[in-house]
Amino acid sequence: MKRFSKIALIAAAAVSTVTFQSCTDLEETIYEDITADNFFSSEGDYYSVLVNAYGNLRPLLWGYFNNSQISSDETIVPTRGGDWGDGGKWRELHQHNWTPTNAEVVAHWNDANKGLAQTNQFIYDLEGADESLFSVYSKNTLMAEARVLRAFYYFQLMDFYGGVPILQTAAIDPTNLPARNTRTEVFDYIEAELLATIADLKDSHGSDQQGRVTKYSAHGLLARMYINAEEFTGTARLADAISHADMVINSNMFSLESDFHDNFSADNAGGSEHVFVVPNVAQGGLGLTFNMRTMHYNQLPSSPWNGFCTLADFYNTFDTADARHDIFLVGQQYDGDGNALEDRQGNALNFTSSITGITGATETDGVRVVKYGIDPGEQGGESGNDYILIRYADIHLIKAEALLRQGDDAGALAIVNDIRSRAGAAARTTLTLDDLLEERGFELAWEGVRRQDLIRFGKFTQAWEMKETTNEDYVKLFPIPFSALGANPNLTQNPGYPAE
Amino acid sequence: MNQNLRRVLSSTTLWCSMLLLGSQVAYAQSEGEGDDDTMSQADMLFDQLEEVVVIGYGTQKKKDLTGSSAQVSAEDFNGGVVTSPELLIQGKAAGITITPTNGEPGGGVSVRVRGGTSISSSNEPLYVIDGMPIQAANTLPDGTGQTGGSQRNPLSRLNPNDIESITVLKDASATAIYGARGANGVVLITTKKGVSGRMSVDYNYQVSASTLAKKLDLLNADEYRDAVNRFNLGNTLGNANTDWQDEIFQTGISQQHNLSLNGGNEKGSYRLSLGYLDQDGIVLNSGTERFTSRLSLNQKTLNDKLTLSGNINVSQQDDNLTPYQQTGGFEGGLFTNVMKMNPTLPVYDEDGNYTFVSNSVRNPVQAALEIDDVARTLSLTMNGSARLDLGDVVEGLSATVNTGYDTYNTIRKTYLPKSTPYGVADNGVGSQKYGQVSSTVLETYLNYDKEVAGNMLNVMGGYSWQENNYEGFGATAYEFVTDNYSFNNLDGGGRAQLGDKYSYRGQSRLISFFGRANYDIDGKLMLTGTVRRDGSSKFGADNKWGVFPSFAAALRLSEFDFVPETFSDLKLRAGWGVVGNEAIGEYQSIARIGTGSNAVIGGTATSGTGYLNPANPALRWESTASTNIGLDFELNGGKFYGSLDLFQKNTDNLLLTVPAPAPSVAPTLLANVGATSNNGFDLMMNYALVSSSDFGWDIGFNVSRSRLVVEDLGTNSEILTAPISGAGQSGAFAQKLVVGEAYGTFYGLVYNEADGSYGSEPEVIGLAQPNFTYGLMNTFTFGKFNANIFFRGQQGGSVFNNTAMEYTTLDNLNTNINLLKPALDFDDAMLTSTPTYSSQWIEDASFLRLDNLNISYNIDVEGSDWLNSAVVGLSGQNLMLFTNYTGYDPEVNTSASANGAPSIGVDYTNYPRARTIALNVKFNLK
Repeated sequence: MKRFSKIALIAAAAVSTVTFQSCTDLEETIYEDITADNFFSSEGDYYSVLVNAYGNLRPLLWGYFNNSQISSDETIVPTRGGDWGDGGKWRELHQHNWTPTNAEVVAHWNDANKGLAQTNQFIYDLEGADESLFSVYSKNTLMAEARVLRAFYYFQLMDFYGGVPILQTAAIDPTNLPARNTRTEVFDYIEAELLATIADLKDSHGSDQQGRVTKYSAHGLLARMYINAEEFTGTARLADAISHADMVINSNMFSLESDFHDNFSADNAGGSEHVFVVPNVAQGGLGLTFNMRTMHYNQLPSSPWNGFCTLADFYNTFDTADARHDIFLVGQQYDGDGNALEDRQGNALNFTSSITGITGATETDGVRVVKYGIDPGEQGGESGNDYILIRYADIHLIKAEALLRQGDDAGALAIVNDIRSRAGAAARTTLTLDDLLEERGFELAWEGVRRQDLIRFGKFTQAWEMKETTNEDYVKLFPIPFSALGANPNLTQNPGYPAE
Repeated sequence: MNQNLRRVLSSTTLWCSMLLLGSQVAYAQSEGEGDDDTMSQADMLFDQLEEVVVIGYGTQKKKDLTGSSAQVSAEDFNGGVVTSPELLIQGKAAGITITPTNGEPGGGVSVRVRGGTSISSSNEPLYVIDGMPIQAANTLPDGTGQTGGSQRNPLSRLNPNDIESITVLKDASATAIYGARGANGVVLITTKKGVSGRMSVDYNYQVSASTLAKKLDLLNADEYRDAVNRFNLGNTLGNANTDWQDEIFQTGISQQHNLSLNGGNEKGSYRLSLGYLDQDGIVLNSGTERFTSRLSLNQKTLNDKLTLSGNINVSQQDDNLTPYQQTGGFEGGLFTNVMKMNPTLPVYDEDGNYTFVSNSVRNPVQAALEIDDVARTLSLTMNGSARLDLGDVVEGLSATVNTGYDTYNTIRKTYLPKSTPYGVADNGVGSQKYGQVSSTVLETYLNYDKEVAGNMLNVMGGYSWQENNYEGFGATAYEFVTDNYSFNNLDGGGRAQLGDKYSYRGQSRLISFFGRANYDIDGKLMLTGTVRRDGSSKFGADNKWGVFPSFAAALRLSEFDFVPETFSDLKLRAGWGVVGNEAIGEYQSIARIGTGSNAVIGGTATSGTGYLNPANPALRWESTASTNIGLDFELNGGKFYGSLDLFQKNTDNLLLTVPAPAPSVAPTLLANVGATSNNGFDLMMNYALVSSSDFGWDIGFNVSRSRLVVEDLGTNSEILTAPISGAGQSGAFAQKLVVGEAYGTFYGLVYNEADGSYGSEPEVIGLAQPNFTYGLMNTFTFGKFNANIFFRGQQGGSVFNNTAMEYTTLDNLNTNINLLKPALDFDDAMLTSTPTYSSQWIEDASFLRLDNLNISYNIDVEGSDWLNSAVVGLSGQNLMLFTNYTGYDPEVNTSASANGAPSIGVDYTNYPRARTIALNVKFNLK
């Protein structure tokens, strides 16, 4: 008994002593994550954060794409019974009566800002890197790519919201929150950034690095900036649009696909019109879900969502002889074996071009758009088709538009007819601005540029199908979400929208 | 036995972990012979004021308490099939609201002491088992596909049969000794200990049957056909008449065996218990099987100067989970499809296969029977203490060392066969996932008792160190060659992708210095002061440490002449204190880099490394200042007693998820922003109505109220939560946190029943928090019979019946899925109308439940050679429910969090609650 007690006392004393040595240590030991101090030490470390900067582009396949499409005359997401009601956010997008709390607007704001912050932080971390670490790509190339990506995040924000704060540091200083720069300042900043990086960007990447930005991604983005410059800054930049479109066209790196649909097929990676892409593979979180958004529940094993469709007025502008008409699904639908499909009630699955209404639509209302071909290896609704952010045909049409706006009708017409003949459409004999907008609709339908186009052509605020009233000009910008205004009192709301 | 015990204690490396304080309580309470039951009976004979109550780091006579707490002992526990400790006291203690998430066996339980204080941080109390604070974290990994839903209750590691008493510390003066973890109350669980005397063996057996307490009013096949005809819809109909609820629900049979041995002498005691529970759920192919074992040892040595004690608790629980997903997934889990399935369709088609509807409407019987989803939870809790009487050095001084280790881990295995609509899209999905939490605790403290001029002074001070670890991993495989592998051969899956495997690990430490002084002046005035200095590794570098003080005083009015003699006791208590809440995730204050956004580069999925969060070196604990005023009274020598407490809690520096200033690497961050308040009362009363030798009738009653109100949200103008489930409801929320309004306020359109119209603007349409909750216990003793009847209820409060909203719509006919009968009352125009969230779906949650009924009979065993006592009993649980609520049960809490704010009062496609009848027998062997 006595011996045991002694042991007990010694043990208790030992335990107490050991404990008191580390008795106030509250340093956190991090296991599954790392900090900047113990991370960046090799080329691979920097590369994997650049991958993250690319990965942050992926949400644009949802928010930037959807909001650009649904707010236009090309796309509608009608409420079908109870489906797609979703608090009215889809209807608001189409009818231009969105509010600063529209969930899709808020989500895009958050996504684009996150991509911006992630990329900006990376640029500052990369700046301090020792150049000798890099052997596969030079530090300058990685930096240039990151700056293009950051410029593109700014571009999205400038396009949707106007002026946003331009970051001067690695991260925002919570004690000194920034105010908004003007839209022109952001435009100038993006332009300067893109121009500054072109020299360091690569002409192309090997197949194992395919999908990363190149010189021509930067030129293409500049062409898109300049064609919209008048809207963005009040000053037209048509000559610059042409010169940067020509940088792409004259590079001999690109050509029009002989088959229009090859641009969008499941195996479209590395396509000859791909100027700036967001590449996909058919796997969770890394695929394209465009077909899921539009196709009917019973059309694919992955049970699509039966939401998005196009409008009769837009559909009817297409000539059935035009290959580009083939993107539409209309009428009775069949499965792969040619069996007629049924809707959920057990009736024929028959898509109609007319839509009962923006509410009260049926599950078969509306023509569906399957521009990106169905991927046979599709996984849980995610397809491997690469999404084309800037397409070579668009570069041509930007050039044609700039020429037309400069008065070179013949030059513009020639380009437009090149594009048309590829699709098997008859040549146009004349070309007005309205024709050109229509042609952009044929060629670029559901490619995420329609909102910009309608704004540039002065038609965004007009009434159209299922959007019966004209809007005031303020809808050309989306509102800054309340959550953002609350988090930074130095941000101001866009005109026309409530600040709280 | 002493030799053996000593060998065990001295020879194993478990010494540190085996020593325990706290057992002195049981020891002191239960002198003399006896088993668990006689001990409890002996307990009841104590004057209730002399009762010893567990407090943090010690015990106190109930009459000397200055803070607010509630203790429920074994004899008052709820009877029947009780699988986890906190449910033993559901409704029994004023101010403690215990709500099972749903009716799933072993499922999660939410416990609120006085209604909570926080928004983004946890509102669960701190659990302390025999002096050892444990991490009550759910370790069940997320399911795969439609197997979401379930949570496991981390307290089910303890066999309720091993519990002696549960004490809940409610006000800050009682919980401040737990400092940064005290804001939501502290639940102190004291387990049964050995009693000196010859070995006593107790055995009890219970068998029970559980059934679905209530069915929902879905259309039957004929009604469905009529409805389709009414609108001349061309729906495809079958010839069957299937009640899908009947197909899914079953009578669940449960069995329980509990065996315990205990004994000892004046130097030491032991208790060993073994428990086995096999509980079937009321849903096909669901249930729980559990083994528990607990060993308690207690030994005095060194001339009785040193008291050593220890506990080991081991449990293994196997859950057969029900594949339900509640979060509005389009396809949904089992219960969603029970609602949807067309009643004209048979369960099996003419070929004997499960009837296939579509990939989005899925046969729920197939889900229940074909999806494998099981979990095994293992837990090991060891703790021990050594208490050394240092009376030789300084009179009244003693030193205690407490140490313990606790680990709790779950592995979940899931397989969605490719032969079912659940697994077809991925050609079979199999996964195994593992999660573990563990804690190591070491506490040392000194206790000093001294009489100062006839007044009693007690001073206690100590140090505490606790490290919590968590880790886990998992892998999911797809594209299986055959379903026969189930989850047992993940490599039989044919694809490996980013995100199909994961692992994680984290750690936190809490280090504290604490002290308490009690001063009792002549039995008339009791003063208590406590202080705890807590350091938490989770907080920012600038704010790791916080100080949490409290003061309380109690005045025994009954000691003064002006109080009438009828009051055998009358005591006024007042207390104030500041307590904290640190229940947030680790590493939130440090700018971290980790798994970021993945991208496709060169046609290959490539993992990216990104910035996870901005640094926040100022991050600190939530701080709750709380004031409590209480009155304890006892009349006629204990015939009637009770207490009333009024409280006010003000919480600031809330740990709130707020939008980060853009651009930020994460759109939200955790910051100390905002404030809440909470006030209310607890009242409990006990009246021995009749207490003659052959008949006794005791009435116990408690009622309480709390009201958590949002006072400040920082830069948030409002926080939306309770996302509405159902097709077409994404982005819609049922609740909104607004400054000045109570937490759990429903905002929506007002529905006008008369004309079916809606108001124009959303407004307040309900509040989930009840006006008050109450419990009423009647205990009868009649000769050899004992009986108790326990009613529990809630007055006021609302539930959002999300299930009804989604399924009370004629539009379901358009998609050929079932609906609830009230939809038939709508006029024809409603055929294509969208379910609209409105006051129509906010229902009164008031209820009165006959929660527990126990009748037991002591069989005469006099003259038996082997029995000391034998008791047979019959218990009923959830026998009657009086409510206007149209769903399964208004006492429900479907998890529907958003924007860092958990919802309350939402009901959506839940595992419904059972009604249970149990028969049990108890023997005490000679």
